Amino acid sequence: MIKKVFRLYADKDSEEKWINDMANKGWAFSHFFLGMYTFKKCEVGEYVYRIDLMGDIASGKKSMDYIKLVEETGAEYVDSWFRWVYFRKKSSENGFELYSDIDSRINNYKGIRQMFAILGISEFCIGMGQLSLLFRDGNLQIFNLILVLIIFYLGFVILSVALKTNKKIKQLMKENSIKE
Amino acid sequence: MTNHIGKIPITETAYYILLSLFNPNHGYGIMQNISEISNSRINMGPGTLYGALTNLLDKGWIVLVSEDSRKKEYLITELGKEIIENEVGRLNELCINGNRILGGIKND
Repeated sequence: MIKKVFRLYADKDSEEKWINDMANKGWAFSHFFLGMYTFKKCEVGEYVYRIDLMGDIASGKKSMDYIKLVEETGAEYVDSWFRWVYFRKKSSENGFELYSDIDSRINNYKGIRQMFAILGISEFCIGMGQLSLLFRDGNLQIFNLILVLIIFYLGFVILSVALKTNKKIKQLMKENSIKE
Repeated sequence: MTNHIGKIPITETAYYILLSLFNPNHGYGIMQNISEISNSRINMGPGTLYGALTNLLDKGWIVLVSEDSRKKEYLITELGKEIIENEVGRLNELCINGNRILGGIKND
């Protein structure tokens, strides 16, 4: 049995939580495409899922090395999307964490923050570029206005993820300074 | 550039990876070795290990010894060994002082 659900996630932690909740209800995530998540029936709580941001797309040499390493630990590669990758492991096996210390979790979030900051700022630059096309012969171009609004809205959403990630980094750094 | 060998404490992750590479070893082998010598206290995640290996390669504390085979094998360098020796010396100092004070309190 197969189930398809459309969702848009910008925050990987929320997305990971949702996918794991689905697994706990007996739906194993198997494929992602443009916001469409495909699930297959599984035992309730059969898998634990982890999402990660890699340094490159999945077919890149470094990413392939990384995926191979994760697979050696008994986990399974499920799918990837640009630099994002989905892994799962049977929950009957030992715990499944990709990052086991605070330093590496901070570095992982820093990579995510950088990507979203660059994307968000690019989005704003594109939006600004479009502003000059708003008026033609003194008339407001409705289509261009809608386009600009969508671009700015996306820019805000993307930058808000960068800010949220920044908060997570600060929280982890605080934990780290207490530990040391 | 000044050499900071022995001046900066290295992370537990880097410490145990370096200790696991006195003989050539591959990624998963390193994880298993660390779990074994730490009595399962540390179960290093693959993301943590991969990031640390990249970092240690950049610093020249470890090198790749075989890339042609399916599994990449790494080995500690002379510089890496120097780092580890310094770190063990620093940790010994911490232990000696800790034990001296704790022992002193008990003896009072």
